[in-house]
Amino acid sequence: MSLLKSLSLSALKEPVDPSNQYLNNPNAIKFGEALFNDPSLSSTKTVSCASCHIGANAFMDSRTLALGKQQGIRNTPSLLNIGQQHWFFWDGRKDSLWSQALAPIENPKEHNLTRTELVHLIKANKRYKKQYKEIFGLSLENKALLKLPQRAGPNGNIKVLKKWKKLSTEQRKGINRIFSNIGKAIASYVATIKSQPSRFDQYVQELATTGDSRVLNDSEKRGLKLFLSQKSGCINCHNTPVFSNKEFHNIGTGIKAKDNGRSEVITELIHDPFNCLGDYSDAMPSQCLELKYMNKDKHALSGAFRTPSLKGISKTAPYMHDGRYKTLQDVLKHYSEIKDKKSLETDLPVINLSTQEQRDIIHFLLTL
Amino acid sequence: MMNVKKVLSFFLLFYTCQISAGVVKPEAWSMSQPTLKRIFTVNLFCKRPPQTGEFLQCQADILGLTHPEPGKQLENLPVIIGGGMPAHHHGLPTQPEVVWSEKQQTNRIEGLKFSMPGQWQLRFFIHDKANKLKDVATFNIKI
Repeated sequence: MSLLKSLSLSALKEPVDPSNQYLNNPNAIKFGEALFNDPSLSSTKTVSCASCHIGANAFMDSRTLALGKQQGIRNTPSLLNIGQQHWFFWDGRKDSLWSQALAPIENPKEHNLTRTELVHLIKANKRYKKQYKEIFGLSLENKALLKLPQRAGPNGNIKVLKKWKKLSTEQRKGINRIFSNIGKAIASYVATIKSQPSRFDQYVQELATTGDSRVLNDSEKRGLKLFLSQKSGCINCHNTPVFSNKEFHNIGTGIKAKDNGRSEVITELIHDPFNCLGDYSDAMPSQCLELKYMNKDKHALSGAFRTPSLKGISKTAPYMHDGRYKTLQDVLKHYSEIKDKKSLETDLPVINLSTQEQRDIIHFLLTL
Repeated sequence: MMNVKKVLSFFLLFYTCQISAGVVKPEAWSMSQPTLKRIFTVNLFCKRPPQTGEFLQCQADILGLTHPEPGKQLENLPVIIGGGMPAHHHGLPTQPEVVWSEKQQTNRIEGLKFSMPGQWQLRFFIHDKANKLKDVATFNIKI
């Protein structure tokens, strides 16, 4: 029963992020929600965070690969309970929700904005300007921030980069401060996105209070039993109330020289100015344990991706980092086909599940 | 028989007092292991039994077994920690470090975490101060 309770939403803790002092600030949450839904935060004025993270659809888009200004290379992850994670994006190349929120804004395939464009947009919007000053206590009319070029940033094309390089250190720091604060406001809102109690949660609650429950049918109960057993091994990685151990594993989906997951982002993460140990983080260095002690062994992390949450899985198809599987049947087939040689190349043991057993597990997953 | 009862009662009372005084924490966990070549012994202590999903607060005392003398606590030796899950062909989720604490007179283990339930191995690669002797202690830990 204690294992079941540990998987229930009732065991979910409030999100914690010492690198974002505005995480629980109601005004920051409100500001973040407006920014999250605002398509003017893109070069075409058509792409917002909500374009891919659709509220009515478990905060993802049902596409194989994300589509912003252009098509990306990864499947859009659901944002349900995302504030519980330590690492963000499928490869965990960001170590906070606020730092993650910044990347799509200046990704040419997503929002395609530059940092100075974002500053101009916030300054030009009276409501945003007022909210920004109220929350962060900083004026956007800082002397260093006057007469900024329209498009300048470190991640755009060469023209944009040259203009960024021409700015003084003080100007770049001032822009980065605004940029990181925007990320913190968006993160404050995104961290409030949580699952609603599911049939599984109701089942656990009834079992805990009355000792019996008929919420799950026989197939779903068989699936739950298999899910918890070492015959399937699902529980090894898909645990906690979000059904994710929040770590990185190679399950044989990485593609060498194309998309090798975690191993490709270690260096970038260490040097990211917006990481937990960076100038824009509100955390003490002693609070950045995940970053300080992260596994940096690229060989060991080759082909590894973050364990996705299974909450709301009925709405989060297609599956895997590249959306390669349209159905849960395909996913279960993938695990069942991990045999001896393939097993040695991955983090998975050999898994033998009959067609009926796979079906039962799927029925259980749909109760999450 | 009476004496045995008295001794047992004394130890029970003593242990209860120690718990209430905070000296012995009932949830604390420990394990000892000699190194492969039986040069050292490693005594591993954690504030709580190892579990998944959180950084563990553990320490490792390294004692001589056959060198330099049995039972002698050895200070500030170069120690590297590693490990993994053999059945799943992967290592530890983090890169923990072993740091000698002068104040606590023990090796603090920092950044140690387990990512899934099951059988784990934790290894301590130990060199003596003169860097002439090296040995490894392997702990099999069931989470």
